[in-house]
Parts: sequence; structure tokens; C-alpha cells
Amino acid sequence: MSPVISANNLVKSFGKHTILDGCSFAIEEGEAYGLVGLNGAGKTTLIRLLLGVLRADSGEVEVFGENPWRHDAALHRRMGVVLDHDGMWGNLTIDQNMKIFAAAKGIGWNECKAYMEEYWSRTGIYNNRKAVKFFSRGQRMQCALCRAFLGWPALYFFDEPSVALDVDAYEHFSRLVRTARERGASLLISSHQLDAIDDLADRVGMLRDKRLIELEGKGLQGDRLWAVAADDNPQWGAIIGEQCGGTPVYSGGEWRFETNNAGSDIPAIVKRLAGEGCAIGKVAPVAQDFSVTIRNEYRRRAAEDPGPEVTR
Amino acid sequence: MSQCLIVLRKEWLNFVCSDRSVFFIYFFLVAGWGMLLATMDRGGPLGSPLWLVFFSVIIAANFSSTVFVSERMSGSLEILLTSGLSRAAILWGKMIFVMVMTLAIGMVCVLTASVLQRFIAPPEVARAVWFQWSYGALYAGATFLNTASSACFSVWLPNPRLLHFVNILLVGAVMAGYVALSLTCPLSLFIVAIAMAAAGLLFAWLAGRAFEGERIIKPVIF
Repeated sequence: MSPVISANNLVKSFGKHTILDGCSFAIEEGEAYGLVGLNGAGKTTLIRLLLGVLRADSGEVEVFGENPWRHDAALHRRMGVVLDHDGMWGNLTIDQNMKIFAAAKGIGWNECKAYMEEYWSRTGIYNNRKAVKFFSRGQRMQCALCRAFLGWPALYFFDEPSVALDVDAYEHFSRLVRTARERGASLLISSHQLDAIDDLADRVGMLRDKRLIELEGKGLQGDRLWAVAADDNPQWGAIIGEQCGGTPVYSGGEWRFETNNAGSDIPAIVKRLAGEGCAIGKVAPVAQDFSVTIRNEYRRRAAEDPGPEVTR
Repeated sequence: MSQCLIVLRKEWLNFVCSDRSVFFIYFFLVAGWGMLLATMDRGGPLGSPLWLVFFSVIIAANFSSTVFVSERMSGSLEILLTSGLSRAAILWGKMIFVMVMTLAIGMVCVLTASVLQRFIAPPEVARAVWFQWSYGALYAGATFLNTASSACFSVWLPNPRLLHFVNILLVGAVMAGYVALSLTCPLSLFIVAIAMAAAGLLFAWLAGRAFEGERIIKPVIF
């Protein structure tokens, strides 16, 4: 089965400024892919290349087996899109906005109304007497999400979808994502909200140095992150640190640390701790969330490239 | 065609749901220009067909600012481009809306003038401008040129405030050519109208190409 999205060696520059250089990845049917990266890393540019509103300088990109740059309207009808702005027409009400999008997607108004009744029944913001421009940013984003899920398309692009959402709205969004996935849809979610990435994505790619690096996460860390259940005596932390070379963190009744050589480090740590009289509880590897991996990547990058020195 | 109608409907709704101040401005504009047309002496300096061209530039560029530029600025154009409508339908839907509105406001000005003339125009005023088919053709030609060039330059120009100036420059160039040629041989205004429509076709083609390109989502500078 061919992937829903496949990008191979994508290069995109604006003038002399190269944003993406050899970016490759694929998203399979039913998969949710998280896209992270620092500000200006090229996340939105990558999404725009996949949507066909920008053209790659070189490389290949295919969405549902088609080049999106061909601007096939039928291809876009299979997509739900929320970009970094809500994209609603402010002078119009929710219903007027939705009527236009339903018509563009070839969806009848009755079907659209039934969908909207269900969508808005879970939130309290529906107000068809007010123009959308009088809504708050979060409310407008909810309208945009309502538009994106209209007709349950097979592919979704979300660029910072959760940034303005309150807890209830985020829960609602999360439920909609799950429903879409149950229907076999694929998603690309770009966000700085790492919790949202943890919650929604199966795989995560980080844009760094103009390339997309696939991150490990959600239990895929192998034996790198470990936890030893013990009391908070700093001596135990020092012993673990000496053995592994890092700085263990005490949290939730256990010492957490990273090791690149669990096979020899873990028995040595257990032996030394026991020898010093530490009452060891559980010793086990920790399934790591994407957010931890992403933060570690950001920290590693900051350490490698501290940026220009500030002079006074 | 049905996709064009969706865009037309969207633009119409966006216009009728505008702030009330927009309608006040158009009301005073129609009243003022109606008065001007009613009192116009075709033989005098104010009777020049340049007025018609000027009306068209102002109204078409005004609608174009909302239809083409504001949509880019708000980011909704990008959503519209990925909504399942073809780019040609988006372009032509918007262009037809601007043309229809500009022509409609022009007609309302003429009707207002015809009413006002009964009460205020001096009897020596010649037949009013709206009875001349050539003037109507000139207004329509100028409207098409202004709309097509607005669509094109709304993508090309990084600063859309220049849209009005570009339109005045273009239409002014055609009118200057007409005046210059008229000095050597008498030319019908129909020829100018046709020249403007031909230039409009060229710009419509260029706008179509601009809408197919990636420049259309470039940030707008104000």
C-alpha cells in the first residue's frame, strides 16, 4: 500500500535563504504524524509544500499519489486544513462560513447541518447571530476545526491547532482526532504544544538544520532511560551519576537517569547502591514520551550552538 | 461555473455583512457623483469621459482591496485555495463580483443623476452622460481593465496600497493615448473601450498565471 503522503529530498528556498534541504518522510494511512521544530525551522513551509500552495525547488512530493502542485481541486476536497490562522471570514456567521465550505467540498447543507449540530453540541460557543469577527481567538479556532472535520476527509493538516484552545475545546479536538483516525484518516500535526504531540501523534519528526529527523518516543527509547525506586538521599543520585555520567533527577519516588550502556551500568549501579545500604525498590526502563525526547533534542541543540554572545 | 457561483456568493455575503460605515460611504459617493453627473456639461471641462474612467478606477480598486488584498492579509485566501475550489473559479468568481458591483454602482449613480437632473440641472445642460452608449462602453471597458489589473497586481505588488495608483496609471495611459491620437484623427470612444477591454483580457490572463503561482500566499506589507 502506498503512503498517503510521501516526500523525498525536498528542497525549498526563498531567495538565498534555504528553508528545507533534503527533507524526506512518509505518512501511512491511519497514521498521525507530529511535526516539531523551533520557530522558523520550516514547519509551515513543509505543510504548504504538501498542500500545494508552495512549489518545491527540487525533490518529490506526493499526496494520495498526486503532486499537490498540480492544484487538483478534487485532491483538496479530501483534506481538512487548519493553518496558523483560523482563515474564517470575519463578516460572516458560523453557518454562512460553513455553507460556503460545504458547497466547495460538494457536501449538501442538510448533511453539513447535521454534522454541525453534533459538533457544537459538545461546546457552548455556538452563536449564529454574531459574525465570526466578534469571537475570541479560541472560539475562532474552534470554528476552523469545525470546518476542517466537515465531511470527515481522509487527510488532515493542522498547524498549531491547540494553541488557543481551552481545556474543554482541546478535549473536544482530541476526540475528533480519534474519531477521524477510527475512520482511517491520516494526520499531520505541527505544534509547539508538546503535550498535544504526545497525546495525538504516533510518530514525530523534528525539523532541524533544514532536515526532518525522525524521533524515538513512547517506549521506543530502548534501554536508554531508567528509573530506580529509592528514597531521596542525594548520595544515591551521586552514585548513579558517577556510573552513568549524567545528572539523575529525583521525581515521584524514583531516580531517573539516562544511560547508553544499560547492560553493564544497571548491574553496577544496583551493586553499588545495595553496598551503600540503599533500599532499592523497582529498577526498570522508562517508556519515554515524545515531549521528553523533543526537549532533550532542543537542549542538545542549545548546547551545541549557544548562539551569539551577548555583549554589554 | 458552479464553483464560480460559490465564490460570488461568498463575496456578496461578505459585502452585505460589512460594517454599516461602508454603506454610508457608498451612499455619499453615489449621491455626490450623481450630483456631478446631473450638473455635467458635456461640452465643458467637467464633461470629459475621464470622469467615468475615474469613477471606475475608484470603485473597482475599492472592491478589489477587500476581495483580493484583505483576503490575503487575513489568511483566508490560503484556506479558500485548499477548500476544493479550482483557482480559476476563485479568480473569476472574485473578478465577476468586482465587475458587477462596479457596474451596478455606476448605474445607481446614473439613475440618481437622472432623478436629480429633473430638479437641479439647468435647461442648457446637454444630454446627460448616461444616454451615450459609447460612455457606457467606456465605463464597462475601464471596469474590466481595472478589475483584471487589480487581480493581477494584488499578487504582484508587495504593497497593495499601490493598487489604486497602478490602476490610475494604466487607465490614464490608455486615455492619454486616446487624447494624443484624437489630435490627429477623430476617434470614437468605442475604440478606447475596446482597447481597455483588450488590455483587460491580457491582465486577466496574467492574473490567472499569478493565481497559479506561489506568490499568491506571500505576506502583504501595509
